[in-house]
Amino acid sequence: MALGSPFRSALRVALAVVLLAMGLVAASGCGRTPPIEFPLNLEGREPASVSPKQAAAIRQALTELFGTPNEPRVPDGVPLDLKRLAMAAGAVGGDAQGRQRGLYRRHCVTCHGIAGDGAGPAAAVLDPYPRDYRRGIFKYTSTRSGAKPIRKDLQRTLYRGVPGTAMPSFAHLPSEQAEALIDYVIYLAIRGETELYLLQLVVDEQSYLPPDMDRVMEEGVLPVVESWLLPERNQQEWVVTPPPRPEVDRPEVLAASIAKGRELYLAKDSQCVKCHGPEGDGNGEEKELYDDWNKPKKGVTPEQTAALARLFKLPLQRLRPRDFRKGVFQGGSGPADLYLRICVGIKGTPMPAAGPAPGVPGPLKPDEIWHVVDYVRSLAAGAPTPQ
Amino acid sequence: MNRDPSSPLDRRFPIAHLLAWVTAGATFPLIWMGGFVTTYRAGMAVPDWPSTFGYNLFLYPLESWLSVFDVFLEHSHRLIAASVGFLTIALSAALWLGDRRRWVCWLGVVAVLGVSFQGVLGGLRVIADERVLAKVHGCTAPLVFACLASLVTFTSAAWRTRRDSGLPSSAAQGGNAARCDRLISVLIAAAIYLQIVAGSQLRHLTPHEHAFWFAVWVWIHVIVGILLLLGIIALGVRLRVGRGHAARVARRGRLLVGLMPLQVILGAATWVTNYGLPVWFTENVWEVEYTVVAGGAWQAIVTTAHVAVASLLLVIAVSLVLWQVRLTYVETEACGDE
Repeated sequence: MALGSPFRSALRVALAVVLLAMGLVAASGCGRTPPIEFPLNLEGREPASVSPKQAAAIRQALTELFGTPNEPRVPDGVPLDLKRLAMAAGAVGGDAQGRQRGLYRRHCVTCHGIAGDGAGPAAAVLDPYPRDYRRGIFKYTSTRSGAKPIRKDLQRTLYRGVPGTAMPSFAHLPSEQAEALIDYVIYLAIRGETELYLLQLVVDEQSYLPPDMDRVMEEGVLPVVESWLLPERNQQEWVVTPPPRPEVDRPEVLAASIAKGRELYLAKDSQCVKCHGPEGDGNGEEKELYDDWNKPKKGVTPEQTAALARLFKLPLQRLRPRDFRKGVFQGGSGPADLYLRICVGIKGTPMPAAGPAPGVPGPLKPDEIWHVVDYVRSLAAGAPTPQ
Repeated sequence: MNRDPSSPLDRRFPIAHLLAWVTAGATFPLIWMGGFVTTYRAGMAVPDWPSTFGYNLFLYPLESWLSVFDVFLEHSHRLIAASVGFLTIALSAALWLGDRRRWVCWLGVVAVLGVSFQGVLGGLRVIADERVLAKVHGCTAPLVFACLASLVTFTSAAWRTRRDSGLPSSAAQGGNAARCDRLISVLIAAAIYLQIVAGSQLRHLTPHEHAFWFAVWVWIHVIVGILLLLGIIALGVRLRVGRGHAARVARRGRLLVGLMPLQVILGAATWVTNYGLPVWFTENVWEVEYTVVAGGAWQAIVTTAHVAVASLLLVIAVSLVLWQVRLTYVETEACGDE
């Protein structure tokens, strides 16, 4: 049969292609998905430094307190809504009425990972890396130095996203789903900090096994929960609300504010120039900048850094101070957003809080912060630098 | 063998060709809908299979189907898939009734098995809630599409009569240049499929996967994509009609050349709408305030279009290879020969 020949040729080609593709898929670990579990946080530790017995004890304690990724639970005294947690946890799915479940795995896990370690499957190719919740540190907050974010801060980041990064805006998400995700993020953060406490207790302090759960609650869980509740309860003291902006309705007033802002920006006390450079182009004298998640990966020598790399899931990543001239601000480009960034800083990064705090005057007064905001915004708008 | 063109078998033949067109044509929206299901992560919106929330697939109430977006996507995907299944069975029956070429009839059976396998795979993905099966489902869909599209080619009158304008001499077709063209085309088809597999790995991520593998697949996808673009441009230059290539072959070459840049743009846009502008770009080329919008229309359309155009490219490349082989090796019209 004459036409058999092209068919056979095509079939051979098709088979070769299918086999090649199957080989590649198999190489990347194609098989039945293992059960979903929270991985133990061994970042920065020699895996052998935690014995199997210690690892099992920590896992058991954490499961007892916080459940599993499919069935989360919270210890007494943790003010999180279990119904919302159930909606965010578990496998992705829904019902005929459109009620969703598995929201975290649907929207977040690809980048933030199952335990919120910021090392999800897509994390390695992202810059900056996705947030690792397990230290309870969140960059863009309205709270003062050292304080946890308030719920509104997490809502803002969730709804607006982080411009210039892979963190999307979830503006399309119904509010009940957004609230469920926020609860789950806080849950992962509290769980993560408790895990760090347990690692310290069980591994570093070589405590008896299994750990005393009353002590774990007392010293591990409750202080973390308290640190989350503190700024929510005492917003007057811990949360910064930008004061009304001085009127800059006339061009000469705005120009004077920008000139004053530049003066403050260049002043030694504000520390802006050190990282952002005198021209605001992010080209300051500090070149080796790292956030709190990357600092532990940096050794004194390149050899030490290389040796440390194997203890972490993601390679060392350097911070780049913002180039104001580009006009892209990850924490938001509105005047109030910039005010907050200058006033309370960016947590977990070398960007310090320059504003006043109760009992501490700080390098900049509120009016002065507004001047710096005007100056930074003028750079972003491409306005000529006042001399 | 000389045939009587008015024989009953031959008159039925255009029906098979028409059915092949309709079936392949229906597969393209099926791939779009499957792409939307993955893009919106709606694969588990309907937790049972083959039923839909306990209803027979075809009796699920219209208002329920339309009221929940995820359910609409998944249920629509199933309905289109079922339609493609029925059409494929009809096509296979038409082939057995009207086409004497047994290998074409058997290819019709392969298509039925392929569509059925694909359907069962999709069902098992739901029943087992297994993303790995979703990956395989995504990788086999373009193969089924290519199989159905090749039946369009095989049932065409032009294929049977080996009719083509600007057909060069057999000697020219069998030369080194033609062999080189065929080799490039086969490599392009294989590379397109490799890209589909790589893309599937990037889309169907499971929480366990190590970040290393994602990076590996990203690099494979980018490097093979660049090589593919260059290869297709090179092939397009070689296949210009004026240089003695058959018009059908040249036309498919032009289609590839036209679609591939679009696919590259869609690929870049897919990355940007899912992960934002890459740092190397913002640092060295241009930085603009851009925020990724999860579940936004652009994200969904761009990403799904990238998936769908990939399948289309594969189909065109396979068709190109088939025609190159057909016009080179088959010396006589053999339809009806046993």
